[in-house]
Amino acid sequence: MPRLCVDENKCTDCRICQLVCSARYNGVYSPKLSRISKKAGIIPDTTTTDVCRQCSDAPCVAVCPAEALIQPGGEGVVTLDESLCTGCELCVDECPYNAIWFNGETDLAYKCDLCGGSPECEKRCPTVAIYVYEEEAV
Amino acid sequence: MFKYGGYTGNILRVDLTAGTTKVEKLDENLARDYIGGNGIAARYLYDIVPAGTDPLSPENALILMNGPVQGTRVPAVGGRTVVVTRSPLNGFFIDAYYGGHFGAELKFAGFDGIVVTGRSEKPVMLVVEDGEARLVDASPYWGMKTFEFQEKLRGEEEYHDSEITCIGPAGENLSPMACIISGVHAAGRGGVGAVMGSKHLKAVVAKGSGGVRVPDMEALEKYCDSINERMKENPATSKVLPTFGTPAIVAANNNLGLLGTRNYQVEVFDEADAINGEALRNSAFVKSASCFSCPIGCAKLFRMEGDEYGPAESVGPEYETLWSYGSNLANSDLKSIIAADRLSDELGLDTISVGSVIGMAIEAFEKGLITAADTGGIVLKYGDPQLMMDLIKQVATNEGFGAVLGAGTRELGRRFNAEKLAMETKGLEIPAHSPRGYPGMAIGYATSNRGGTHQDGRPSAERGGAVDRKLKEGKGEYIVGVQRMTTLADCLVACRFTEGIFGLTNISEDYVDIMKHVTGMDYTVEELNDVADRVYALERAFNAREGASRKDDTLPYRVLNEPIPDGPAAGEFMEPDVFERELEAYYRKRGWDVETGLPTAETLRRLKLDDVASDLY
Ligand code: SF4
Ligand code: SF4
Repeated sequence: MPRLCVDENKCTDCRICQLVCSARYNGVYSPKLSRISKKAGIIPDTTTTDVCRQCSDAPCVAVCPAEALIQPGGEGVVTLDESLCTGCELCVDECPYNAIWFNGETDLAYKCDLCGGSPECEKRCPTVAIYVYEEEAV
Repeated sequence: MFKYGGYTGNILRVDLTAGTTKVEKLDENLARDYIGGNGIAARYLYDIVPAGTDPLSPENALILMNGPVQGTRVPAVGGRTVVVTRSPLNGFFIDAYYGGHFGAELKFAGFDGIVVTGRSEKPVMLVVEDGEARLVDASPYWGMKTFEFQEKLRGEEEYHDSEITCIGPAGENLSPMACIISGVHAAGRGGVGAVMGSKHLKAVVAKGSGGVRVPDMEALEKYCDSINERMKENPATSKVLPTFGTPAIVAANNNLGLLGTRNYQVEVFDEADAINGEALRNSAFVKSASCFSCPIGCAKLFRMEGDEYGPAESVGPEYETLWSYGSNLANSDLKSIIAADRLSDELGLDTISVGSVIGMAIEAFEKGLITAADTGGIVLKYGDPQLMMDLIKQVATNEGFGAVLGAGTRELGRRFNAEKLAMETKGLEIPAHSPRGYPGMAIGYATSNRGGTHQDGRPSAERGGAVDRKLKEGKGEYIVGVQRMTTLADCLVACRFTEGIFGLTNISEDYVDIMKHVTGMDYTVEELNDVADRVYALERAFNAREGASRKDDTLPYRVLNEPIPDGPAAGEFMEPDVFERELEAYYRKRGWDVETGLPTAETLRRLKLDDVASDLY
């Protein structure tokens, strides 16, 4: 099953992944609105990244009372149907990887959907630090 | 919403004496005529800091500015910030730039710039967040080194995702060589950190959840992709800088016989191999880092085992510091240079000016102009890393011999009758690009409004062979084109490493495209030249009010009188008559008065600087 992985040793903290993500989904450059959250130390020897792992039997899907989060067969990419999302934020609290956020302007949750199979961030990352990893289904 | 894309339309005014902050609307005409960064900040400084203002008084202004492009994905431009003020080192206009993430975060926090005046009674920090600002007591942090402080602040829940711009002990102690630090990046030159220290402003902290809007996102994204493709095809941005960073220049200049050594007494460093890009890559490289939106990633984290000089872990040294703390001091101990780079960042000191003044002091000591009675008993000699570490610490205290050094090479020359050894123009130390071997750069140094900086005028085209390096004829006019490019890039707060892509010697159509895509404003190249000329003339007028004229557009004695003694570039220097000829060609090309070195009234009016014309004439 595909999901995004980050090789933190290669990541230079340039934030291009965040910029292309928010450009595509929000029509604006805004790291806070991107589906990737990043942090780096003052001395940038480490970066850390929060991004959706597309868990099997995803806890966010289970907790969503509106059935707005969708994962057919409990496997693969978790997508959000914005027309069903009520903005209750239960998924935001439930995600063990801090990879779902809430947009106060639209009152909707947001998360990575792998750009429907062709991730913008993977295409633009200058060091190929962020990439799609295909896990064999067991 | 602001009329043009890229901008927030808000400027924050801070009066530290009154303890007040006020949000003011950015004037649309200011955006059109000055663009941002260097330009808008220069206008504010000229308007609010009267002639004769003591740089360390409450009346001086400290201006932090981004531009329309910060926060976007335009490669290598997105995260930078400029600091503009009246320099306490030389009393002239200074603009100092830093990379990292702060410029973008300031934009996301809702501001195009911050103008700080006054002086707080107690140490404070300014916190800006989503369109609002507050002053917070910073007494607990006063005295802290820059990394320790930033880490401590980031450790607090409230500030964990903020970007921080701060000073260290050198700025607090008002050293004229104090810089401003953000993350590991420095706004290095001209003592901007001392101005911040004089205001008792420990830090400016930004965090924001906002975004940057542009007229046509799809078009801009496509444009960014095309720039990235061009960066991939360019060896400097795709290979050299990502692999080695700026340390690659050590070998390039040493091979040309143009690596300033022992205070530019010679320009070949026999031990350059020990401190070049290869040496650092092989023995100290840990990781690459980028500024916001930059695909190049020229910043290198270096680390070496053993802490006899203090922690030898730093992002850097950059080329300039490998010169200033390396060849310039005849020091080939790489570990000590990394440690000195780290120490300077933590204390908040400009490595260029500090290394230059130490190099000069050692020469003066060897020549008997400075004695142990002047240094507090210390024997000054080249190739002594421990001495270097000690002197850096002394400069940061701004006391005793440290204060004598920190006052700069010009002052050192005056005090010890050593003017001929001072490698400065307008009182700002010349960096690591030989003024004897790069004649275009030399005229750039002489005519820079800041003084000895390689950012008004550039060495790159001469070093890389895009123009004939040794040719002097025509370099006066040539450097006008280069300065127009650097000035415009500074209004956009763009990184200099875009120069190989957007053009080394002139303002190119790329700048027209960037302005169009980000702001929606249509300019022609000629109009952008006018913006650059307007800003440069305004800076010059600021200096003129402080007494500057043609007499200040000069070069160090050594450059004009002592040919490079040996090595591949032996015999090269700037003959005084050639220099004067090219300087006059430079003035004429700019529409400046050849006698005074100042823009004529006619030129000022043509640039829509009528008020400045009335001030000067
Ligand atoms: S684009 Fe790549 S290198 Fe840049 S921050 Fe994202 S993962 Fe890191
Ligand atoms: S795959 Fe697409 S949605 Fe997911 S983080 Fe990358 S750009 Fe954003």
